[in-house]
Amino acid sequence: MLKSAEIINTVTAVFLMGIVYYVFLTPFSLVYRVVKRDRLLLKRVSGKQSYFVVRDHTYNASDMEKM
Amino acid sequence: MYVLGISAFYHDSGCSLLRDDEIVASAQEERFTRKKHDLSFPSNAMKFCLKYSGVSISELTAVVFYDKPLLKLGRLMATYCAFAPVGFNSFSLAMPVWVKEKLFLKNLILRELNKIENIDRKKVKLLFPEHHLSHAASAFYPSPFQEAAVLTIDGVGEWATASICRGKDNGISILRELDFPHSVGLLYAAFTYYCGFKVNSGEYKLMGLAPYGNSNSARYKNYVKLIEENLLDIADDGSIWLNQEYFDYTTGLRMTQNDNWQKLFGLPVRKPETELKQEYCDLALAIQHITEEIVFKMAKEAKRLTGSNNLCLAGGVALNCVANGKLLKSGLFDKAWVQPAAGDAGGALGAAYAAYYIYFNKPRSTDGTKDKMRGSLLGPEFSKLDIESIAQKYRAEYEYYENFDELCGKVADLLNSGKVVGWFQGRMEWGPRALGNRSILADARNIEMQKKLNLKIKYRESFRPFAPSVLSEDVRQYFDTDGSSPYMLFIADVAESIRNRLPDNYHDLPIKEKLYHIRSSVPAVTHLDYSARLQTVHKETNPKFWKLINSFKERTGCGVIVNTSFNVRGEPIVCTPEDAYRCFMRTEMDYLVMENFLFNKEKLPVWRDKRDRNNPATERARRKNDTSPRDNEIYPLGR
Repeated sequence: MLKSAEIINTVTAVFLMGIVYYVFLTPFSLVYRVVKRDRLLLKRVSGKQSYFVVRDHTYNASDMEKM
Repeated sequence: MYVLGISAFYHDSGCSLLRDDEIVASAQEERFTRKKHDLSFPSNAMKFCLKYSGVSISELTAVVFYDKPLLKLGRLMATYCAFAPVGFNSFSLAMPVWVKEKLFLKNLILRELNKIENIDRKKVKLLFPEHHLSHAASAFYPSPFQEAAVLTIDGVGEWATASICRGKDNGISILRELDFPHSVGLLYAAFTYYCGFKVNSGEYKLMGLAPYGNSNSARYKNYVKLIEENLLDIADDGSIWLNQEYFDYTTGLRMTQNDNWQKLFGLPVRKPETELKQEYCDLALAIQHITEEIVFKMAKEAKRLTGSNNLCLAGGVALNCVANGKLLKSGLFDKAWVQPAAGDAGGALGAAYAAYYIYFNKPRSTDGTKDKMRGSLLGPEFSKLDIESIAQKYRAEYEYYENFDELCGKVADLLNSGKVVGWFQGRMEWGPRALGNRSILADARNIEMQKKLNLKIKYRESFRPFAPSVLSEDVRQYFDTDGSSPYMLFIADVAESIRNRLPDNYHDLPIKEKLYHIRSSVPAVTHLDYSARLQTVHKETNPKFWKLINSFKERTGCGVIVNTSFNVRGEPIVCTPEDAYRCFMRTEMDYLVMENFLFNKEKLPVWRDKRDRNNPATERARRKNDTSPRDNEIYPLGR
């Protein structure tokens, strides 16, 4: 009984996440890719001198307050 | 002021407690739960830290978590957006954990604190430094330096996978960071996986395997070329770009795109526990050398940006003591210091220090020589009564030595006669290395010892090397270094004067014959390339361990012994006297020393526990307790 409840629970959760992923996130991702271009730098850019992001930031108290 | 740092939910959770700038207690959760690399909330470690220091939660000025979960979630969502509709399997595994726990991390922390004692939720100050700030703080603040370049390299935190910082007085500035998915730690982990070891725990094995590769061979040279031309691009400043056509960790369930790797290297992914062929050794050597090149270039960039002569290192890649040793030897920096718990557990200590110095803006000063780690002996310790009660429980006969010097003499004689001794003293070590308080010890001169320790005591792969502990005063006599390495985080070459010559056909020999060739007068700790993962033992930080090695030296003239962690494969290092006794009885160790008690295996009752290492049920239990990902399991970037 407990096992079948767990199975139903898992199937429902996967189904709901499927809706979130394919119905909401996937169309949004198409827009995201246009706006944010290549945020993850997936495409190689020839002649790039550095892949580092410049931060030049001294940490302060307010950097630690938000989760 | 008391500040509590916590790391959890990724791998190796831990907890640290500071009293002002002094580390009172630190421990990893795995040592209490006995689940290796336990990533669950460190309730036990937290209870220990509070109890040990006699502090109640209401006395804590702040509780600090070692990263920013919401920034991490942002990175995860950006990754899914970059790949959708691909990636649903990873999404469906990762999201439930976020929805149930991580989004409500503040509540979770408060709930756990409330289990320990009733708290006023509004009075607890919760702070969240960035993941790489926690690493940088763990490397810089306890170091002996007033100013330093700080390099942190790991798998991934929120977005950053590596950072270059400048530490000065009580401040840290981040200058550069490398962002996900381009990661040195994940690159090394991908090769760890492909060579048949577990991600997040087998990296050490890959590093140990590398010297079996042949750097003169055409195959090794071809692997280096293939990796550099196809898998990655290394910029002059050490930053890297990884070609995601060859990796699967962003949204997949494996580290690598196995078909593409097989096409590239002509070599299938190695199944765990199968025979190690020379091809995998050459591949391990290729990625080790490339990693060293990247680390060196990053360090050079850190030097250029900061102008400092001191370097601090942390992050999982900083546990690559081969890269560390070569970096130190290069002379790029005058001095280098690595956080002993460089992995994620150490983030707990860094988080606490970041809050103390940055959030509360406390002044910081150092004497330029001593670090604040107290030999990294920061865990629980046990009394005479605790040990006596274990002896009673198991009806174990023992000899008690009132005089510790006498005990050291006796143990030195035992080691000299080829015995293997479990050595349990004082406070447990913080970090993954046993430094002489939870150690298994043996004679480094014994030609059979490496084989015996690997196969009969540790039950692990025969190719893996053992580390030497040497009296700090004698280090130059045995090793080609001037520096100290109290935390086993640097390798050094065995001195020319004690080396034996290699046979001409050495590189053509099978792996096993290479392994058992007698390479020096301390063969048990001399790896194939004459390197050794060195621990220098200092009288000031660990007087008992120093005394034991000195007694061994007085008898034998040799100031070096084998020191390996007091555990067996797949289990965490022992914490309590009971853990130590059980581990001792399940292996073929000859003697156990706990504080001033000496147990002789021959005089002890036969161990009735069915959980011996050859029992399949034991193996199942061990695997159940091992929370690191299996070869076919998702790499938990989404957790």
